[in-house]
Amino acid sequence: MRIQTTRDDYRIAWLAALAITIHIAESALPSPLPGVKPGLANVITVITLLTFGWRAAVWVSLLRVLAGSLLIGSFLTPTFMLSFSGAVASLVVLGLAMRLPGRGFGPIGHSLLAAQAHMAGQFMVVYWLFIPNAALLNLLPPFMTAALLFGVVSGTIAAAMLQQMTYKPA
Amino acid sequence: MTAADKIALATSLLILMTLYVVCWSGSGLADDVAITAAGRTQIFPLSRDRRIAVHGRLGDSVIEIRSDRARFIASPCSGKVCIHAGWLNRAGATTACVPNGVIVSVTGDDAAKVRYDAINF
Repeated sequence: MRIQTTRDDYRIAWLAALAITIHIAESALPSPLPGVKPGLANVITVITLLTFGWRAAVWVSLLRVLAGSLLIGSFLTPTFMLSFSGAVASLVVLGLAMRLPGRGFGPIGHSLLAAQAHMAGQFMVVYWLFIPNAALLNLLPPFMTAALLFGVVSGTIAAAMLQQMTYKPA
Repeated sequence: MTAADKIALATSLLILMTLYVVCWSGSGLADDVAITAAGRTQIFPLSRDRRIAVHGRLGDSVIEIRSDRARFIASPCSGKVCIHAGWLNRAGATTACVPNGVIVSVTGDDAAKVRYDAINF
């Protein structure tokens, strides 16, 4: 039996592979605060969203979380739960954000919103599942600051990459 | 950057500042002091300045409450670690005169204001 693959499947696989590579490279970086990392795989999600649409972005993002965790060995651990909840939260927000009428958000806006949704989603899951303590809220401001900074950084990278890309969506 | 991007960024910054104000405004300062001696705990408000003498295993320890803080000022122990601990004013801060069996710990009423489970020196 041969599984029929489409051009879209290949595209998603390529983009997911890129995102997974970034995800794994980043997981090796030391971080001053556990939970704070640049999240540069966000760049791929945003580029996918703006070029190939929301469905493709969902595939790329969830494949990254799944395959990335299998490769790192964190599948179904708390780390995985956090990646997964963050990815779902940012995909939901991205799905809403791209429906904005008019010129809408550019790569920076999308990336910024995605990064903040990612962090907020993770934070809620941490609060509900792992540390239901009000003291945790003290960590929220610095974490959201990191999300804002890294969201703008990866949005800027995504914008620069989109300018270099020759592919124009149909 | 599109106009929507700028609005998103500005709104995010505003929300972030609000977050700092809301989440970090808890002073973390204590409201009450709990003094435990010989297995009995008494709670005093930090708002009223006073000196309290409690009976411990060795004798009387004196705790002073002044300007919303509390400290040991006398204790019949040899090390005087409790006195050297100085003022306690952050919710959760605790010091004890172990030889005399007296524990002094300041507490805040609001759970979110307690930034530490315990503090010692």
